[in-house]
Amino acid sequence: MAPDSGSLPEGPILKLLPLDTKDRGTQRCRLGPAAFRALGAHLGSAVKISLPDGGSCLCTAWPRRDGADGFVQLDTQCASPGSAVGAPGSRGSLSLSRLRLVPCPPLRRLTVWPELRERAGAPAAPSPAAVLEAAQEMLRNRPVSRGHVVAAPSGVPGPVAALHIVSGVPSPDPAGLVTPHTRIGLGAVPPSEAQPQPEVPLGGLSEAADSLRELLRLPLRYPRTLAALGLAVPRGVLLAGPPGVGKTQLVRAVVREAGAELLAVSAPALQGARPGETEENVRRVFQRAQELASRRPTLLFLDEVDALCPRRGGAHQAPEGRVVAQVLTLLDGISGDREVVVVGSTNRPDALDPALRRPGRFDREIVIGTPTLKQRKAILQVITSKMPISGQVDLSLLAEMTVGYVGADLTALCREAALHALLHSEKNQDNPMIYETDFLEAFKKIQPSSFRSVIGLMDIKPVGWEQIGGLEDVKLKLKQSIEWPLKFPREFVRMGLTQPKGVLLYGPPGCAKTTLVRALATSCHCSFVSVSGADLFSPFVGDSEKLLSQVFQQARANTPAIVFLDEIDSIVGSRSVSKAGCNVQERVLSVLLNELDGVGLKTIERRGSKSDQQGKYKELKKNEELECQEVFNQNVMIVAATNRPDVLDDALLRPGRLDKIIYIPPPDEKGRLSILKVCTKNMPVGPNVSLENLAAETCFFSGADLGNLCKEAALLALQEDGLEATAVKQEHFLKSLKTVKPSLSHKDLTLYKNLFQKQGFSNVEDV
Amino acid sequence: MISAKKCQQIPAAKTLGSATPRKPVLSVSARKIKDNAADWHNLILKWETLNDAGFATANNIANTKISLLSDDKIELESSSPAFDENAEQRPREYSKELEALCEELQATLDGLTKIQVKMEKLSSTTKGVCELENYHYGQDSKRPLLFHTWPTAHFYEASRQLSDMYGAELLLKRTIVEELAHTTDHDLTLTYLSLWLHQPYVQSNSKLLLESMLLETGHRAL
Amino acid sequence: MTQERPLLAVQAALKKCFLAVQQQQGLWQSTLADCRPLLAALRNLAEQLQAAQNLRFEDVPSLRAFPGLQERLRRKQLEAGDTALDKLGERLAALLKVRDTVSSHVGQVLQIYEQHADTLGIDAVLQASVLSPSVADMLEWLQDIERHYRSSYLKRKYLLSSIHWGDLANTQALPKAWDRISEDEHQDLVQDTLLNVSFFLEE
Repeated sequence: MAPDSGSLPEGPILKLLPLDTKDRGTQRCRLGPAAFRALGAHLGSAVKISLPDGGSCLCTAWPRRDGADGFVQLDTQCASPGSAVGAPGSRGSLSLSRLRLVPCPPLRRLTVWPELRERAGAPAAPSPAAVLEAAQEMLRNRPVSRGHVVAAPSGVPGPVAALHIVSGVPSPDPAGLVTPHTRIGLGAVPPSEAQPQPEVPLGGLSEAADSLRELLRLPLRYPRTLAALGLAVPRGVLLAGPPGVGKTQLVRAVVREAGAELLAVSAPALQGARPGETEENVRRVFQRAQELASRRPTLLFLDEVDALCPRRGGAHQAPEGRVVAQVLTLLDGISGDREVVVVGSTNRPDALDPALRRPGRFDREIVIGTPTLKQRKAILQVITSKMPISGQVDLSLLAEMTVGYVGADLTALCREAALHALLHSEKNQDNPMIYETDFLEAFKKIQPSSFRSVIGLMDIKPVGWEQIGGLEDVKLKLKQSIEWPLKFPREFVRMGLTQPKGVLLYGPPGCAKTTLVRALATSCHCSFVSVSGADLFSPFVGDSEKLLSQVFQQARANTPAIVFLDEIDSIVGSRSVSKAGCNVQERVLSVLLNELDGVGLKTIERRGSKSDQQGKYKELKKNEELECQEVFNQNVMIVAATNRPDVLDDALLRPGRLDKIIYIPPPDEKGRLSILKVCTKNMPVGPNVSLENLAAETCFFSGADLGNLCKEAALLALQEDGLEATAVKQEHFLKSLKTVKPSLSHKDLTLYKNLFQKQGFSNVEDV
Repeated sequence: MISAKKCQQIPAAKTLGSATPRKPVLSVSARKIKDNAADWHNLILKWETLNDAGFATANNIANTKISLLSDDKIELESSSPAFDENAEQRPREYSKELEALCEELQATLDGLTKIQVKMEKLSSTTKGVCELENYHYGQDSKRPLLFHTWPTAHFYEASRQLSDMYGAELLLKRTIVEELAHTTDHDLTLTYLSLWLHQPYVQSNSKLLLESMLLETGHRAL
Repeated sequence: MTQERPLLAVQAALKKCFLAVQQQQGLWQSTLADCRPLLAALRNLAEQLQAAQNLRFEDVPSLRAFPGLQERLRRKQLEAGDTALDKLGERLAALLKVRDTVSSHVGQVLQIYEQHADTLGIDAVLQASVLSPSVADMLEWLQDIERHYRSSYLKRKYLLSSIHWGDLANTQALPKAWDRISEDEHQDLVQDTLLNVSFFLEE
């Protein structure tokens, strides 16, 4: 029975029960006898019911089988659009006062707007006569109400899915009965849309969205005007950009906004195994788009179109060629139609057949790059707008950290953070809050997707500057040339400085060149790609060059980025040294030189929009920090390390390429002391141990040698004092000093020294 | 529909004047033509009856054949040592049945052949009437019409067409009789049956030709 | 007494209507039975068409002597198919007639009830006796029956209109689809209802 909540004092409360299966599609409303009496209803009287969700439905009153009072069951076959009480699970209650007996005069005329079923098999839209007949059948002997929608019963086939009651004579308001004599007509004007769906905000894509929107809306919304102007409206758009930047979402959002029909097809899904099947599928899709277009403006979205239309002309590609030709034909054919717009999306626009990329087919190309700092911030704002974010979370900082993240990555990041917050904040489960730590935690787990397939991507173990003993000058220099431009771009701009393109670290082996770079990558939040010779070399001609160029391309997509070329001498040789002519190393070198200062970026690597790039100096003048940083972030820094700088090609070392050359000397005594301190930090060192003495005695020891020395000493301690050893004593160090030999020699060092003297480098550190 | 019996009676009774009021007594040629028309009707009727019977037989043949084939398959799959005894016996039994059916179909075909020969004869008699008329009237353009509207040549034309159709059809049927029992392909068997049933060479205008002939000669009232 | 008369009038109308339904149901069933061989014929035809389509006539040596055979055969087959479809169309018209007759009878009963509804009151129509179900129940059943005929007719009509010779597989499945319509709906609805009111009708 109805609970006596007392919240609705207007009348007895009826409990809303789910409908009997038998009554489905009957438009009946089952009531108890008391309700009948209260309403003064007869059997089959029309009753209008206001539903709790604001809609209403029209039913005929019938008594409940069991004669029980206090319940109501509704079949909402004729209801205001969007009311969802028909869901079988709907529970709740209705006040009797929401039921209203309405007069239901027979209608002489009725106008409806049919909503057609989408049929897979039938090629053409059903004829109006067939639709009319179906409408007559559906409405026979039904009470209807203006503004309501009569849904077709699910089991019965037919061309009509639903009928919107537009008007009638006498006006079916509140209700009217359709009799066999009612003349039913089809209204051409669709009733106004229920309500425009709220726009899903698109973070950071506003510019791309604008240009796409304009393209879609013009032909879709004002076809006649354009026709009157004699304009051929663009029919095709190509969206290019890396995966996850929101190409698909952009299209969906714009379509929803424009009220158009979207037919989204993933191009790989069209591929068929049989010869000719793919073409057939493509044809079917286009045909379907045209069918849809006969009802309302339609956008055909071909996702991953490069899979369907690869560049023709290669070997063994006859089938692809046919598919491409088919798509071209269909695209040309569709341009005769007013209302179909074709949008293709790809992340490899260069792999597309060039014939597709001309006006008349894909008229326009919109490049959506990996989001810039500003765009990332906008995206984060959109994503986090519905999350309970603690006030301390600095989205700007987060945006700064998430270099190379695309929209999808950022969503994943926020989700991960929310999950983390949920799992780790036991305190207030009911009211969870996401703190900055959660984001940082999530940051560790989520990697930018554009970065996942990068060659030579390093999972760097964070290393702090303080973990490297000595080399203070070098550290400063590195910070100066790499970290500062990233962190203080304003000052650099003010002083008219351009940031260095690349840095070469050279010095004897084992002197922490690699560790320095690692610390560098840790301290400035940027993508870090490390490439070694092994990554690049390949038995195939041209492969190495391609790989290297790909590394740079990917790094540019994730700027700011550091590309670290360890042992650069093995990757690129010197053109003067090897006289063999055109060997691999030489070609790799020329690629590297090109990447270092090539003419410009490829179009697909563009970030943000074009105007953004062109206006970069203007933005600089604005002196707004974010913008400033963005401009600077567009570069890739190269850090190379070698212990044989003499074999490097001169061209590589000239300013503008590896313009900063830093010598990393073997540690001096002070340096060795601090290295020893770092090495023995986690070691129980006996009280008699004098690191100072050790430092003095370990001339020509490199950092690596010192580390080895400590390890040896500790092992010795374990060996001599048994596994119970608690401390490493001085004698252990001294004993191991006898076995461990320095890897550097005076001869080596003078070689390095002479080298720079001969070449006249300015930045030289003495031992 | 005129019943077959009634039609056969028509030439015997010879009381047909009422249908052709202008000529109370028919000329010899006219009577011949009229008899021919009735014969056409009867022959086609007979043909249809035989065709149906033949189809039933052909159907049986096809079914027997199919079950025979599937049995063969089963036996091939399970080539047991006890193979020889059974295998010898059963196919013979089946083929006996098949043979009987084939003979039946052949008999039907013979019947059809006879009918077709008669049809040829009819068409040649009509031709004879035409030639006689030509001989009588020569180049004279004012030939009297035998019945209502058709010149005599028209009758020959119609007869010729009909007998051509049935001739072609007979050839096809002969092929089917020859091939049907030897076909193993299911689609082909089905197509043979379909060909027999639907008689593709008897065009749909055959009915029209026959009916108009009957109408013209007064067997059918307007 | 004033209570009685309207009730009797409505009951009389109901009785008349049920009798009409009984008669129409017989017609409906016999018409459905008539459709069966026609559907089977269509299926066979589809099978034959399919077989002929699968066959390459020029590859069969015995048939090579017959020019244009495939085309001729197809034309004949389609002719036969159209004939069968025409006959089915006639049956469908008969079903439609049943539907319309039942529909108008039910409409009349409802109208008579409407005329007397006010004087009858709600209690009288809910009252059932040993011999007679309540007026409300019977009216509801009649509505159900009418809807049953309507939807059944519609489904069959759409099924037949979906036939086209390009889609042979569909046509071959036709008898099955036809039977499924009968199975899907509450097949014995009319019979059961008539059983329910049998005492009332004999009264």
